[in-house]
Amino acid sequence: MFNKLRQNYKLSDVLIRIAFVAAYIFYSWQECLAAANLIPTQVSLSVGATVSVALITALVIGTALMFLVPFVTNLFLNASHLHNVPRAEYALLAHAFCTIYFAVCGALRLINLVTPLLLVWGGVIFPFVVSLGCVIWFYHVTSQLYFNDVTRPFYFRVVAIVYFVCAVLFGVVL
Amino acid sequence: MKKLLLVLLALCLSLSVVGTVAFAEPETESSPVGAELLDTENFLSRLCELNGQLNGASSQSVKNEIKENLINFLKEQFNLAVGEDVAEEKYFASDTISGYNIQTKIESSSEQCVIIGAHYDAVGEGANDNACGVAVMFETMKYLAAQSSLPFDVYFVAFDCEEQGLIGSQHYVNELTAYSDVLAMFNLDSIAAGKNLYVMCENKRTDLADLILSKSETLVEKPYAAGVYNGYDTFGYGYDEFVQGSDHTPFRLAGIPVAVFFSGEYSLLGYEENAEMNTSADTQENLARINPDYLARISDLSDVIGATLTDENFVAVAQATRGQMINNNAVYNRWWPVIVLLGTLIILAVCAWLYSRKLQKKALLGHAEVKSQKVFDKPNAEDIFSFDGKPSSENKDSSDADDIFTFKN
Repeated sequence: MFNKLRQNYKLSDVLIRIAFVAAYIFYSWQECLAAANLIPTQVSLSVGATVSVALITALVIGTALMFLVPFVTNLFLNASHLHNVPRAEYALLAHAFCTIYFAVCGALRLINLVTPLLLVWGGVIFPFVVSLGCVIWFYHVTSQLYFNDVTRPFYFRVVAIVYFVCAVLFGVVL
Repeated sequence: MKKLLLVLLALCLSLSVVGTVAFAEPETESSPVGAELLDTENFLSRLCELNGQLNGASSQSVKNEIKENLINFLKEQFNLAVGEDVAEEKYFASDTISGYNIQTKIESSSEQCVIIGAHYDAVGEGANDNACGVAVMFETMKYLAAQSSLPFDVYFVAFDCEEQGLIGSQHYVNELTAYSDVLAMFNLDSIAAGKNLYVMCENKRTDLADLILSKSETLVEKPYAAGVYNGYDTFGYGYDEFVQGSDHTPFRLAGIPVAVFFSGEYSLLGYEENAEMNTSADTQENLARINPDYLARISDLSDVIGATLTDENFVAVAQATRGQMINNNAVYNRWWPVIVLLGTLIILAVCAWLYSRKLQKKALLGHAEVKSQKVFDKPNAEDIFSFDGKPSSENKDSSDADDIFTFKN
């Protein structure tokens, strides 16, 4: 199955994009529902309608993010002068690892339904740990695919700098 | 005979005058002649009526007049409920808004006190949100006034401007001089329309919660209490629930133990109030349709609060609860995880730098397998040490390394 997918680039791309959006909905449904719960204070909405609004919101944001990922990866590759990497394939891999991130983080967020005790600590630590794992895995895969021992140190430095900047920005500053 | 009739007439007149003076009720400023202590239903009806008029009035002068009536009505009923002329309005004003908190009290010889609060401002009539809360407070006044004595003062405060952002209660807390003297604050908000009746005390079980729950069979504890204030999760553990944004929050932020009573229904989808009850449809008629037993709930809840406050262990429980409250230090709850994250990132950055050096070394020394053609693009040793000017491939004797340094004739 996996080998067949590897031979069919277009099918892989479509399936990974669908999985990306689905994983994002799974990841963000709690936040979207909390936001949608604001609406009944203004207008009368049933529970079903509120849930629908939350899911549609997550779907729209997830789809927008799906189209944003290739732009971000292109920007990253251009800014770091990594011109020997196939862009579309690299974006596909980025989609795949973002999907893994959303799925695992979404699963960990389910803990909040059982107990609120990890709401703050979990809200900081879970994304950090999962994103670190995903980035290491992503680096390992892409460095084996597109880089050699000479170019790999430069690629590692670029990935590390981008990761630390993002981690400080999203985990500490924001 | 005529004289006798005149004497009798004079006697009757004098008796009627004496009787009127002897049996007339004393007139007070806030308890006008004819004012009577209302029962719950009539109190609620009058409060809803005044709120409806106030929120329906178009001109400011009419609004001011109705507001004055509303304040006088509350003061009058509060005075009658506690049996003393002690109710007072406390004016407050911010940059854009002003209002009146109405306070009455049952005094003791102690310096300690308990505050029972419910906001009286509303959207429309505000039957559920929050005339019923004020009604519970009113019934609790009657309950406690009937007790012989209490070991602490009880302040009853009808807050204004809750709907505009807890302005009345925030102002009240700002005016408090000694937070440590306040044993606890009980807040009553939207207690009638929801399916369940909840009490929130803290984000974990406290002695105060246990005491309150021991007085009722129907009350349900919702332990994830005061957390969110203006969208900021101050206590670090609370769910993002809008019900938490009520008049208890400024008290809890000041370190005073709180107990919040409210109704609704919790599920995995979050907190559900009746949507009608937060709009102009929040009328007594609709409330009676949604929860026909709302008067019984008001009565039961006032009994629970009264029984809690008159419990002999209440003071000890309230003092113990102060020590059980979750640390609301923003650094601890909000920033400590972030500081840990930052520290971890610094350690990781050092590790990444060391790993980068290792990779660099590996690349420079060429220990690893190198795929790049460019790396192999170096002069052939055989060609360097070939002295006959011919390519090494053409010299059959020069293929061995031993031959390189052999001088040929």
